[in-house]
Amino acid sequence: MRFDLDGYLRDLLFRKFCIGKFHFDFLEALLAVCITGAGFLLRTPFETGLPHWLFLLVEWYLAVLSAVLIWNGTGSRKKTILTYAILIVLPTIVADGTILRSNACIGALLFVSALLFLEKDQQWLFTIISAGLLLWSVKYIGILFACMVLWQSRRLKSEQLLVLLAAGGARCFVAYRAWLAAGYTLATFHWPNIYEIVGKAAVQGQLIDPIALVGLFLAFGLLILTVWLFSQGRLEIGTVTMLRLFLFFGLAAGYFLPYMDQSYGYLYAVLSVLYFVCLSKEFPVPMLLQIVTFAAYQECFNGEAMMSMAIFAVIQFLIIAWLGIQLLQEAGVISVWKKRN
Amino acid sequence: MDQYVRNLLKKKISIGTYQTEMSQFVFLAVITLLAISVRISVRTFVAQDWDWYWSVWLDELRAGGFRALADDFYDYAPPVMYILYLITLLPINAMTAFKGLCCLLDFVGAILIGKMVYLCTGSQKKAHFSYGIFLFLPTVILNASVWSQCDIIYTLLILSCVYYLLKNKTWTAMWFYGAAFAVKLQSLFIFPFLVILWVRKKVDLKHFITLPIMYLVGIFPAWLAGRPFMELLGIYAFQGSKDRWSLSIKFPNIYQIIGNNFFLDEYVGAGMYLILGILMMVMFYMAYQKVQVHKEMVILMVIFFGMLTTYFLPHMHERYLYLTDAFLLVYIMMRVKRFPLFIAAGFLTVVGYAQYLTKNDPTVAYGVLAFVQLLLLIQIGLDLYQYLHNPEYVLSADAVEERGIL
Repeated sequence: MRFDLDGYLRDLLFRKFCIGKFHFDFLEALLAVCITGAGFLLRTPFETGLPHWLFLLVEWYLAVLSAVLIWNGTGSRKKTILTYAILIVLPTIVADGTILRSNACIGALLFVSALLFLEKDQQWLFTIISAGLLLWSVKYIGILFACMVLWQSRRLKSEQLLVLLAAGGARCFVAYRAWLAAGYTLATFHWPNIYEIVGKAAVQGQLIDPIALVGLFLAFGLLILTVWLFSQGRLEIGTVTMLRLFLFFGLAAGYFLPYMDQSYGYLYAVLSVLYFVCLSKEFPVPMLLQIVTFAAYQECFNGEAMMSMAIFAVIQFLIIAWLGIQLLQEAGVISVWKKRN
Repeated sequence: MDQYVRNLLKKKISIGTYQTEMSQFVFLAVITLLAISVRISVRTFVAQDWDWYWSVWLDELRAGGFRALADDFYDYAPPVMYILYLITLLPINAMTAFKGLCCLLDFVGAILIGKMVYLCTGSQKKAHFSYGIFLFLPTVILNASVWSQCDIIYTLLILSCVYYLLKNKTWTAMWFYGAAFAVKLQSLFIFPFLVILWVRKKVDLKHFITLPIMYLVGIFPAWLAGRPFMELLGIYAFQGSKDRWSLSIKFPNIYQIIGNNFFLDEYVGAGMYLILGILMMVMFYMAYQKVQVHKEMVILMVIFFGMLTTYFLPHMHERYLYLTDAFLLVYIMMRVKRFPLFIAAGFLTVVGYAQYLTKNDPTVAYGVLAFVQLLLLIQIGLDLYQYLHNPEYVLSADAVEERGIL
């Protein structure tokens, strides 16, 4: 009997294997191995030697943890492996860790861990990690407002919210006190937000830039208003809604807050990938957000952008509006308001 | 008289095995004459590429004869140089001869597209219409008869490959693909569609032997002429190292959005590994979709992979959507409501041509065009996604797959 190589190889692709409690197809393992190799090679052109092991390790672990989050949320092996694959070659991740040697990957890794704890109903661990992030940097402040909605939906307790409020409030106070008095000449550092549309040059000759100060209060005011709006309805918090919530508040906060930099979009670029893997019809969200965040990094490296950053700011606004409308619909706020009218 | 003319136009006419109405025949004749006229009228235009490359290569070949192929003055695949060598032997103007040959192939390509449309739709009128459209696509006219480029050669070979694949003549199809690979590296843009066809049992591993064989056949005469074998094997690698002055050469892709003048060396490797990763994921996803493979899926895959790879690969030229434009024409004849896609694609590609030929900056920024191209890519991707999830085509896990394309 003739040996059918084609048949053998085709069967091999979909043959099931088992190592311990892990079940997988050969093709899944093949993708995992090959994409890891591609991810490694993707980083090499920017290095004089091998990619920095620490960044490589953290980024790899971020991809693995995100895949675990998707596995817990969906139970789909293909979605899990695709999450890992996308994150290992995500240009924003490469830009931050390999080109810029920045530490946004650590923040993203911590937050994905926090989400894992939240998914397992270990709210205190979620709270501690999130509070740590809030204390670390203002760029995670959007998480705080998303947590307020989680608290409304009884996914967080009041004491946990208070911890988060204290951490976020303290960090914001300290950071903006220093930044507003620092005499910055720009209101945004490569992050394409509202200031790219209205003008990012700071008002000179003032003790404090009034535009940035107004922007700061505008950001908090708008976010509080949105949180209040959500309290008019009720959100059922599943994995998709949770991701949408963090994406919305995260992006909305950064859209109005002054002095945000290119790395602001990192965490949300990662979360948007998870969001898309859970809900494939939402593919424009990660795709456009990826373009926006990478454009921010590009402007940072190159000192100039290929096209006006206002275009990316408009794109980002559309993403925020899209996510916000979906959340309001899901919470039933829009139907409630229609009835009241 | 009026009735006579009308009856005459409805009369059936046969040319060999081909039968059509007189009115259709007149349409084809008129459109062919017009297509010839436009090509003749622009034949004297001398493009910069002709002055900088083609005429220099022709001079070398004239001076050194066939032996000149031993030298490394050319970076095109040797089969193109054999054509140039043959042109030097002709007693006519070289540019006219070269343009004439490529224009002739335009007509062969149009016939092939017509045949493919007929095969896919069964409509003779659509076939005739697509024949006419292809001949009057601005990029097709500009490419050969104005710019003196030869993208029609590999496009024609790939059109032949897909045509024979659709007719389930796999060996013939793969010989054509092998020939396309021997002529132009860009034929690899659509290679993943063959991998998916292999997974779906439409192509076997043995058929892929045509690639190295045709490549070796292609370089053999140049080796005989004296060019080192290893150098000939690596000629595509040398091609890849050119054009390092911009990440996108008037091509509306991702680099026109994020910046095409920075990290010129770094993005060469990074862009390739990125698209490799993207293709791995796409192929992984598609491999798991057990569906009946109809002609529409094959055409869609060619367009999708052609657009996807060029969207992320660095150093793409404005001419590299020539192939996908041709297949897009076949696709819109199968799915007429996608006609606006074809119009948009035509406008997009012609902008780069116009800039190259006129040396004027385009009125629309390439970044905007790149977003439009992204929309086209998404629409084609969605069409493919819908096909893969169409309950009409989805096969159960234990279903036996057909060997041929339906």
